[in-house]
Amino acid sequence: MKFRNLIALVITAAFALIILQAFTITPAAGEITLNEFGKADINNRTAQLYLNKSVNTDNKKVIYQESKNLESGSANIVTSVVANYRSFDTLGEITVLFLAAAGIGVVLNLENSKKKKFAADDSSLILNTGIKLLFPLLLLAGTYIFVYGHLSPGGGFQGGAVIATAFLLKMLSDNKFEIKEISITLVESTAGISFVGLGLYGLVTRGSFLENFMATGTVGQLFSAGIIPLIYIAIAFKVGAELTNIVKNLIEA
Amino acid sequence: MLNFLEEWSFFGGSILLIFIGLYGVLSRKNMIKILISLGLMDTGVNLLLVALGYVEAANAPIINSVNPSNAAAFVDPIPQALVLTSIVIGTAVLALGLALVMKIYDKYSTLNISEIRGLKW
Amino acid sequence: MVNLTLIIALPLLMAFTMPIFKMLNSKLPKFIALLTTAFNLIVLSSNFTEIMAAPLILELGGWQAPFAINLYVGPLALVAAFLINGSAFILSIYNLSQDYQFDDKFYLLFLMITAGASGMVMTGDLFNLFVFIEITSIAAYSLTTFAGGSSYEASFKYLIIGGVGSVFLLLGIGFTYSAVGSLNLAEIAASAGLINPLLLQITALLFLIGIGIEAELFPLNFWVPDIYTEAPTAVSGIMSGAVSAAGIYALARIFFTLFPAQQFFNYLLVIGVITLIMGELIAYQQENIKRMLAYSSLAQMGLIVTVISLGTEAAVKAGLFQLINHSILKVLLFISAGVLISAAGSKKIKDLAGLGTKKPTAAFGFTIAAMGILGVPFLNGFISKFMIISSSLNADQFLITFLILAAALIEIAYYLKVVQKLYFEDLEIEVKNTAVITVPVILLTLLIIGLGVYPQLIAEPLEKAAAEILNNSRYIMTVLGGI
Repeated sequence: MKFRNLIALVITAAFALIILQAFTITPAAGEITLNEFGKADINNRTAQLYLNKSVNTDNKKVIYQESKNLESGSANIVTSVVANYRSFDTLGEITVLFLAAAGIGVVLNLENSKKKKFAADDSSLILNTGIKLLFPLLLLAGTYIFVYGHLSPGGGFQGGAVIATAFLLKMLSDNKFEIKEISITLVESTAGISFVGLGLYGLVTRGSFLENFMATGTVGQLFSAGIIPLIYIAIAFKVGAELTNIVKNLIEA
Repeated sequence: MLNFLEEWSFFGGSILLIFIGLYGVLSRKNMIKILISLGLMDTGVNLLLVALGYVEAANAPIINSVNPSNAAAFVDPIPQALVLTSIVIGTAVLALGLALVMKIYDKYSTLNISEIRGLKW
Repeated sequence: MVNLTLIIALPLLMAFTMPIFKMLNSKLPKFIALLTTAFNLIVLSSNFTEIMAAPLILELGGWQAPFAINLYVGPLALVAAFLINGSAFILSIYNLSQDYQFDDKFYLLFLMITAGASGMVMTGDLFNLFVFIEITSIAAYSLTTFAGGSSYEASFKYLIIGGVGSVFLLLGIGFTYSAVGSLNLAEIAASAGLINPLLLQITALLFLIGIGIEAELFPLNFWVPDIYTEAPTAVSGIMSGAVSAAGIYALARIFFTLFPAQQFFNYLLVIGVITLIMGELIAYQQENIKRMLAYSSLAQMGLIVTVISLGTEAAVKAGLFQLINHSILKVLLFISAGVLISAAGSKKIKDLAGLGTKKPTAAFGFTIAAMGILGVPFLNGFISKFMIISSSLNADQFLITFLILAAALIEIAYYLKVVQKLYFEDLEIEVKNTAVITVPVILLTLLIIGLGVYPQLIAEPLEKAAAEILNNSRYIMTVLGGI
């Protein structure tokens, strides 16, 4: 074993020992510590307010297809956290992706270098036909995932990632397929502007950034949840465009 | 016994992933392997966050025809939302790192950090 | 009074629109960046009196304060935000005379590094802090590579250490959330006393690793010299003037508001002193001027952390004053050094000889900033150095005082070496055309002399900021007061 590896092992082991201790603590009376596995105490966490949708209101009950005009209308609680209670984080997150895509464009310096193609000139017929069939289905699946993000598992990121996969497959199989740089730029800019725009509209009309300004409807219906679906659509387009852009840049470099 | 295994496979396992990753970052010399190790660390911490919000025998926090009201037991939705964010951030960092590796490889024709001046640590 | 959320929202909007601005007119991005930072400064000024009277809490998304994300802007955050946006504004003026290859991308990244750092100082939520740290660092990774050359390696190094740091930070956030059940800083601070001491220590260690990278603390700062040396001048400037200030702020927020325990301050004190001495000693040996400035910057961060972790009100005030001075002086040092470097075509100190007469503005800027750092009377650095020494003597820390004075001596040696090269030696070289930096140099010189002659100018914000950071129960009361 080389000296370098030994040092690395010692550092790692020391850290691991320190951190593993956190899981073995038995707290004294009145002290709090990490929850045991499977015993997270939701009632004492902020999460309980999100589950009851009672941050601003004194709500106790949320019933599927019945409860109306709650403070956040999404049936999927994770979605209501991502796109409503903590939507500022989400804005930051798509910004991170945007910055990474911009950074990759800069690093790979694509305007000067020759663009390569990944697909062979004579890629196999089965691959080509399969992906031709899959492409619209993937787009449809992605769209379904983000449109139903407030009702079922899924959402803007997942939907956007599926859509980006469709384009990735197309780039892998078809060497005539090309996405114009400008269309990606336009989609990502428009999506980003509409997310911030939604936030600013809330700021102007309701007084705080990213505040919901639409009726939240009935829990569990497609047209419900206020601005959540709008935010998710913006996110899906943004993430789809961003990931496509990243993959395209990495392939063409 | 089963409980013990369960607990340690989630908590211990994810911590283990983090530290396998850390060891890799510190000891590997191939840039791609360093990035893979970084990816492992990300995965480990994401798993740990989800495990910290897990409630035994509870449902995914979605109100639908199966769990028609919020009276049912749900797992903690906040860590799941955090993990969603952190996955995307991790992906972004890894993608940027890969782009940098491509550029550095173009310049030096090697992936070994000990052969690249300015990367020695 | 304009809503302070705009400080983050507007740069975001502009960054997303930047590619479209580029399509309209290729000159537009740099002016948009300038206007946005100027607008941010106006927004901050318009909120000044209000925040001095009482801290401002902005509930994002309209959710009641401790339960979702809120921004907390007290005097300290205001001072830090002024520093960040001020540095960005000055550097945007400098950027007007620069040409970058992908200018839309440069300016959108530049705006986002500013917005990320502003977000770091304004946020009142732990996970949101993580997100902003990531925005700042990803923007920094990408911005570094605009210089080409060896900047890719520097950026890769920073990316790896930043990535590892963010994993530890996230782990700390997970631990905190699992124990306390909330991510709001005030709620965590309110129940921090209940957390098991061992867990608290482990969590504090994790935060120290995660945030120490941004704050450039001792074992985690080996990326700093590479980034500062290889990055374009404006990027070195913003990293030194804004991002490190935001890092110090986040560190202070975590250790004063979240986990205020004496033992952590002792650790911080030790780390700060080591950073200071190491930084100064290595800076002394450098032949590359940007590398020298980088190590000097590290040393200053160490000094600030040392002084702040003494924990008395006078010391915190002195540390904050030093932070303000450091941002102003380092921005000036980096832009004038950038001009000198491009004039001489070399980063070596010995190749800069004789530029004092050939590039008078830049040499003057460099000299006055160096004098400021050394603590020449009637410049701002004098006041803060004086405050630092007197406060550490008052805290009965004679060893620390001695070390700070020794570090100051080393500092004098290496800064005077450069100044002496600039004015008293000559080298027959052809001076290349460079950017014009008259406006930033005048602005910053006025600030340096203004603060040196009339430090009462910022006495009130400093007083309030120090009082705020030392009294975490007031922070908790302000945020949780509504319930």
